[in-house]
Amino acid sequence: MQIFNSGLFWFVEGVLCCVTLLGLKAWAQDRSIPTPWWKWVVLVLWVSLAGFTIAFVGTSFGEGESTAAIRGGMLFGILAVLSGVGAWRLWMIGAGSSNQVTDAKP
Amino acid sequence: MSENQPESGVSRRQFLKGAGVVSGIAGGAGLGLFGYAAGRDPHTYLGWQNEQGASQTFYRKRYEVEEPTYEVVGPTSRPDARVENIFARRGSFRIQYTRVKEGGEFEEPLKSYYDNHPQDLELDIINQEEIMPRMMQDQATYGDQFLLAVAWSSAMGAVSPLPISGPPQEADFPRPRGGGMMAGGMGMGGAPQPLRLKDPAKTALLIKKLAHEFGSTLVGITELNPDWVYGYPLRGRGFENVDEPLEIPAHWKYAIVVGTPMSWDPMYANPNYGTSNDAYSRSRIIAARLAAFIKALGYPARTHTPGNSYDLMVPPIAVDAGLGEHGRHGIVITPELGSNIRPAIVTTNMPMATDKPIDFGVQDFCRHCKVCAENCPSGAITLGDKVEVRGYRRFKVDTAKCNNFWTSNLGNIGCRLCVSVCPYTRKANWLHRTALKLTANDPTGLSERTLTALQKGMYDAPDPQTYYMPSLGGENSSYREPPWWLKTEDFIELEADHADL
Amino acid sequence: MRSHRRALFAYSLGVIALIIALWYGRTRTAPDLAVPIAEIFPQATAFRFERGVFHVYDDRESLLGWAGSGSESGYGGPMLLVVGIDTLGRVAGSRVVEQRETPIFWRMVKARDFLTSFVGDHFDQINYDYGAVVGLTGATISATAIGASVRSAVADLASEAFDVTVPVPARPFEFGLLEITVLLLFIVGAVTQRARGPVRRRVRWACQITGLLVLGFWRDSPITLAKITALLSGYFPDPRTQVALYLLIAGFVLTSFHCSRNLYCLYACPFGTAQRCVGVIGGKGLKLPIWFVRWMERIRNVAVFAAMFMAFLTLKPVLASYEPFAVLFSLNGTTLQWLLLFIVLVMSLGISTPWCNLFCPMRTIELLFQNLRRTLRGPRTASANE
Repeated sequence: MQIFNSGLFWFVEGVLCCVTLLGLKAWAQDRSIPTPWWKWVVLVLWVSLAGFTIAFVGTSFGEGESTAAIRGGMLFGILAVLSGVGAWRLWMIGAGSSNQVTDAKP
Repeated sequence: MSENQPESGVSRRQFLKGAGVVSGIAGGAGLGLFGYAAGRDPHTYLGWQNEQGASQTFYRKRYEVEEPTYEVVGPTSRPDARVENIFARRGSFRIQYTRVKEGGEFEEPLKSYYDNHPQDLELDIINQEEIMPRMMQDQATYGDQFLLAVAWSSAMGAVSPLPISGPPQEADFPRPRGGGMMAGGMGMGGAPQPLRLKDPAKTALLIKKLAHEFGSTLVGITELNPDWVYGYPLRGRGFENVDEPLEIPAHWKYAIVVGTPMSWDPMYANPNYGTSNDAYSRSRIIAARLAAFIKALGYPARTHTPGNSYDLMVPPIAVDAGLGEHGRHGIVITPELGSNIRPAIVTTNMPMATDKPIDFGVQDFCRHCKVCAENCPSGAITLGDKVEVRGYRRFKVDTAKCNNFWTSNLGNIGCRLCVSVCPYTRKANWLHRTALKLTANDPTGLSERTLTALQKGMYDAPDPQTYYMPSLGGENSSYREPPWWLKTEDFIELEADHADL
Repeated sequence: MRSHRRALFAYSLGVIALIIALWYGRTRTAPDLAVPIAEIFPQATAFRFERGVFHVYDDRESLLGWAGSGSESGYGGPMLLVVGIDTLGRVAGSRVVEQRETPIFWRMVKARDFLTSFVGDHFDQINYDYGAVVGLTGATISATAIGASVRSAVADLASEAFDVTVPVPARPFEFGLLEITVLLLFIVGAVTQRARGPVRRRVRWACQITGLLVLGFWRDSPITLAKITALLSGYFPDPRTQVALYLLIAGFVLTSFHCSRNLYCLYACPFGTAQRCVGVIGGKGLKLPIWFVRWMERIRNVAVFAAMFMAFLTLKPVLASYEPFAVLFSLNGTTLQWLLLFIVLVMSLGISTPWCNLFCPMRTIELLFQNLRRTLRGPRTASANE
């Protein structure tokens, strides 16, 4: 358990985060989705919320507050899922026509 | 492009995308594990780091204010502990009640107090006639499951400094030299002279360092406000006549407040498994050591320690010393330990720089939160507003109701539920520290309301009426599970087990 | 046409079963008052019940005092209290005999504190203002009901034992922002619902958002199955303090008969709006296959029936409360309701208003009304329906 109090843990988390972002960028380029700066802001905000939710659930279970873990997980989970879908739609703005929602026009 | 790669292997791009997905999952899982570890981490139960002062982590300077966060609204006066201190009053009540029942009258000051507070007389009689006998009976019927908790409590209370043996003019001052260094004398004959101290600020630093060194989790220094000193001394504090008004000695100029938390897991398992003796004992010893240190420097010092060895009220002094703020439940809420603090005080005239009171949003928080009042089985904590008490506006706890509930309990009798349920009484991990910082810095009050709603919605609590003994219609519930090391039935063969054999 | 008749038959059967359950629940033996009276008067050995009041005697047949009961409707139904007064007119004690509130409410109100506050007082000095005694700011339905129950018991006792009339102060109708909002929502809905095109769409959005904020997050007062069940069981909360509830239900019932869809669901319901908002985030909503909706309708009808049946049988309307509304609007609810809320909101991302279409008990009641209307007036043409 000591590992989680160490700088090494956060270093690894940072590396994982970078790799994820690089992967996401590659994926976006392959699909020719434009990635302006504000999309990255949206992403960072969403990742913070999702990360908070996961850490909240873990912490509450660790504290022995299982009811809080379940209810909190669902409350913040809803927020994370809803904002996740919203963030996804924002991210897909300007995506290539192959994946575009075709019925955008009336 | 990646689709056109030959079958020889995965392209760099594909590898990158795959690694991204894996890293994302791993990173999320890592956060979950981090959270779990943070939740379980025993280090977040503050108190064990004491000797380095590492628990007093809250940056108080930022929250310092000139005036304490209680309000003065009228002419102020000192409390008459003989009737207003529940232990002192019930002590005298028990002595006099047998005679009163045979047709006699209460002596002053009890008589006029009961004339003005008939409800307190009723509650005191209920305590004597109904609750105490029933508690004895209940101990015999259901008490066995708390044997380990009782043993632990008596172990914690086993070590105690010598009681104070004389009035302040004698007992507070360093003893005349007689046995060399053994008696604490520094000079050659006669009482030791106060040593000349270079700088009050440095002295304050020294005293605080030593308080931590002696094991105190928190420490603060203030000038003693005479309003907090009892109007009459309590029994057992070295005063010959307890019905003579207590004249505040000139050498009670400063008050040093020290304090330690009660052991966390049993505290959360209230009201049945906790004890206050652990923190009482620690705080008593710290105060005694601090007083001895001060006396060794030639200055007078007197300890005021829990359970009931005081000449003054402690919570307001702790507020003045910047340890925390006064809460709805009448307890000082500190940023580090929440309500889980058992303070003790040393009064002295050794010149020291004093601390300022702090304001980290507790007054607003307590006005809206009410978790303690809603969970209090005795109804002692008000759901209403602050009232004027001796010229000060604050929340008032009905100590008679409070004491009636906690004397009905088993095991170590007592109750610390308001401490356990207080949203400030939480582990010192990232989650609760963030919440604390939010409420302390948010002037809109929005975060307080949100966090209170979350606390009430997400965190479980038994119905308060179920905390009572089965004989009083309850289920003897605990707020949280007791720690494994206090579950008597797991270690000791109880009589019920024998019956099964 | 045949399926319509079959549905009506099923509905009738259900309603009859519910009436029987309610009748059974209501005719069960009344709670025994002897135990609480004996607690109030420990020396009591005999009672005589005359003109609605118990006369309490000790073993030498001398009168100890009188005991009477009072009952008013709280949130979860009526509570029954017993109050005893001694021969000098002082309150000897009082007990709660029955109450149907949720534990959370009972925790909030500290009934025990209130009931002990006036023990020993003369009956004309009792402070019935529950909030003032306990120190609760903002009286709830149930808090007011406790004070009113004690008052009605004391009024009986005073007139029987001392021939004194305890004045019952007239309580004014509470008509505030909440009530005005409810009225406005229905009026605006009625006026614009026949309009077409973007105007109607925009007005409806505006109404719904108002409903979400006022009926939802501010006052947490949507119609629930528990409230309907309480009314049907004959527990009428004080109409003076519950104007909004009666307005909402009246609006729901009237428009269920008169419009193709009732205006409560379309314009006021905060939970429907919450789902629509989530649907906007999710984008284009999936249309559920009709056979699935039909099946879910049946399951839901059975569930609503079962919930009401149990509530009637035990006379505990809170049992019928399965909606997760309170979790969303005030974080109140069981873990199961939290889970339900989670599922419904996630579903709302892809399916348009899944709660309304699949789970909501109000839909069952609305369909019942529509069936009734069709039977009474004959079916409308399809074009008029949409």
